[in-house]
Amino acid sequence: MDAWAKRYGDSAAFICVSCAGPQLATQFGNQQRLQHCHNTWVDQDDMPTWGQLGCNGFIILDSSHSVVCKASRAYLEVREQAFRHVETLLSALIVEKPVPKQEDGSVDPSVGGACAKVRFGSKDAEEEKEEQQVSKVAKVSKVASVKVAALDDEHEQCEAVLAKLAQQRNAAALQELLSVYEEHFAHEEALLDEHLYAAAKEATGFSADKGARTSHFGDHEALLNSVRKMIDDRADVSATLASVSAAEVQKLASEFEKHATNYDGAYADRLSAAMAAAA
Amino acid sequence: MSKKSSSKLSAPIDKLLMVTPYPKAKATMNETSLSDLVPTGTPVVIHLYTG
Repeated sequence: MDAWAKRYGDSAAFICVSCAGPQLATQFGNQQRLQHCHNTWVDQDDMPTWGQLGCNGFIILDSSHSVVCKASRAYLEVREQAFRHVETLLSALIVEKPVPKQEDGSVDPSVGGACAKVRFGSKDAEEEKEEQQVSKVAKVSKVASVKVAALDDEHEQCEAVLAKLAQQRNAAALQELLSVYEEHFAHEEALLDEHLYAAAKEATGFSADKGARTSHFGDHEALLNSVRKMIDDRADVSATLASVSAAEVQKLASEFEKHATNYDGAYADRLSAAMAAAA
Repeated sequence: MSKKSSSKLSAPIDKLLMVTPYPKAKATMNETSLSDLVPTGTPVVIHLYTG
């Protein structure tokens, strides 16, 4: 949102809305370094009357502030394509305005095909950073504690298998990662459903917990699908011979770390407190 | 927002409380409305989040 706000300037407005109070809004603003978009929060009495969390789609209003899209394509389902969808809608909405200045005149490969992958001149900082990361051995970081010992142990198991994958870089390690992920995600979802989301599952209308549950569990599915796809792509080759690139391992490690930061960190305090109360 | 014709759907939020920009991000009690925050004539993308 912030990158868009910077890029689009006055041509469009981008509003992030915390539906879980001011503390989260402050934390989100600092974590995401929101400088250009509007970061806001809503009081309990002014919760959204409808809608979904951002990773299930953004809400887009036209210049008269009427809704033209209740939910853009979900990042959980189509990943980066979700952002292209928003940009396409915005382009149509601001067509009568001056075209926003594009950085480096780049065209996304999803729009421009193979031609868009060809770049002349200097690379931008982000691109160089990405290449530097890929050239290194994939790094698996330790994720923060979620204050529930069993889940911390499982996170360590996930990190260990990711580290093994970084070292062995074969489909056998991918298969092991899938098994560890499946077991861990199922256990985590069961604990969350039992201790935090029991009421949210049945909620009608907008519910922050229901939205958080959908997003969190949806991201589990996305992580599993990433691994499954890599395994499927190597289905014709022996598991120990089928290689996995450093970039692919890095992608999996980054996705896991991002998931732990964005989703697992959000439940740590509440889940540990709820489990302690139930004990 | 409330004066729109019935065929047009309004945004799911109106009353908003502002957070100051990074690097001094802090939630405030400064209240605004969607229409005050964004002038008519500008399209809007809304991202609802809980974490």
